[in-house]
Amino acid sequence: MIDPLPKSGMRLPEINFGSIGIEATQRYAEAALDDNPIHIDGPAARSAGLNAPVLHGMFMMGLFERVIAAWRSDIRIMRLHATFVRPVFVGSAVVIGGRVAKIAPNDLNADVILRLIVRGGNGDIVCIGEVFGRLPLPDR
Amino acid sequence: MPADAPRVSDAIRVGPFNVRIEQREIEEFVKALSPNGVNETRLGRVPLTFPIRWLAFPAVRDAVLAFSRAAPMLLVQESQTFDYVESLEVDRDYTFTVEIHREVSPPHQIVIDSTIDDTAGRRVASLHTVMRALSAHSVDKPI
Repeated sequence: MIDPLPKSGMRLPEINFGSIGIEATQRYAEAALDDNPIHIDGPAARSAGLNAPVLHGMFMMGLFERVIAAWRSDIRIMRLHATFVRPVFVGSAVVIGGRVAKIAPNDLNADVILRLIVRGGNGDIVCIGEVFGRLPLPDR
Repeated sequence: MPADAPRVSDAIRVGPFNVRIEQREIEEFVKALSPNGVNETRLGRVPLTFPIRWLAFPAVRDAVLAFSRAAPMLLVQESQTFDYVESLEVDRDYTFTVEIHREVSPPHQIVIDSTIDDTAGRRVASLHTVMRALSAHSVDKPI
C-alpha cells in the first residue's frame, strides 16, 4: 500500500532533537572524523573568537534524513543540500521542520522538493535545507 | 574585476582514493546521529552524509589548508550538497576524487568538489562543499 502523494505546502512533522551536548558532539566528531577542536574544546573555540564550542553543521545536516524518514520512508533522495546560516553552541536545542515546496508527478513517480528549516534553542533559523527526491505513485 | 578576469583560482586535484564502507562505520555514524536515542534511519543503508568523512583524509585537509593559509583565518562551512545517482553500498569499492579551488569573487570562499565513482568508472555521487575563510572576530554570534 503506497501512501497518497503529498500536496505542495504540506508540513513535515517537526522533530525536536533536544539539547545536543558535548558527549553527542564528541561522538559525532569521532564518527565523522571531524576533530576540529572548535567543536569539542572550549579553549580552542575561544581562541577562534567563539565563546564556547559550536555544533558541527554536518551534524545538523545528518539529522535531515531522520526528519524525512519519519515523514515518508518510501522517498528516494537524490539531492540533499544545506546552507549553514549561523553557528550554534553545543548544548543548544535543535528543532527541524519543513514543508513540501513542490510536487510534480509523472508517468513513473513523483518528483518532490522539500524545504527544511533548522532552528536553534531560541527559535532562530540556523540552517536551511533543500531536498530533491522521488516518491512512488500511489495505488490506483 | 574585469569581465575577462578568472572567476576562480587554479584548482588542485587530490586523489583518487580507494574507499570502502564498512558496516561498523555505518553503525557508529548512525549512532552518532541519534542524540536522543531512536533513529529511524535503516541500519545497513549508508547515510547520505556519510561520505563527508572522506574529506578528513590528510591529503585533502592539507590541500584545503594550503588554500586558506594565504590569509590566516578560520574556516567555516557555508554550505554542503550531496547529489546521488545511486545509493552507496556497504562492502563495495569506490574511488573518491577531490578538486579544490578558491573563488576570486566572492573572496575567501574555498570550494571543494568531490566525486564518488564505482570501479567501472560510473558516477555514483558527488559532493559540493563551500567553505568560508573568516577572520576569527567576524564569526556570527552563535545561538
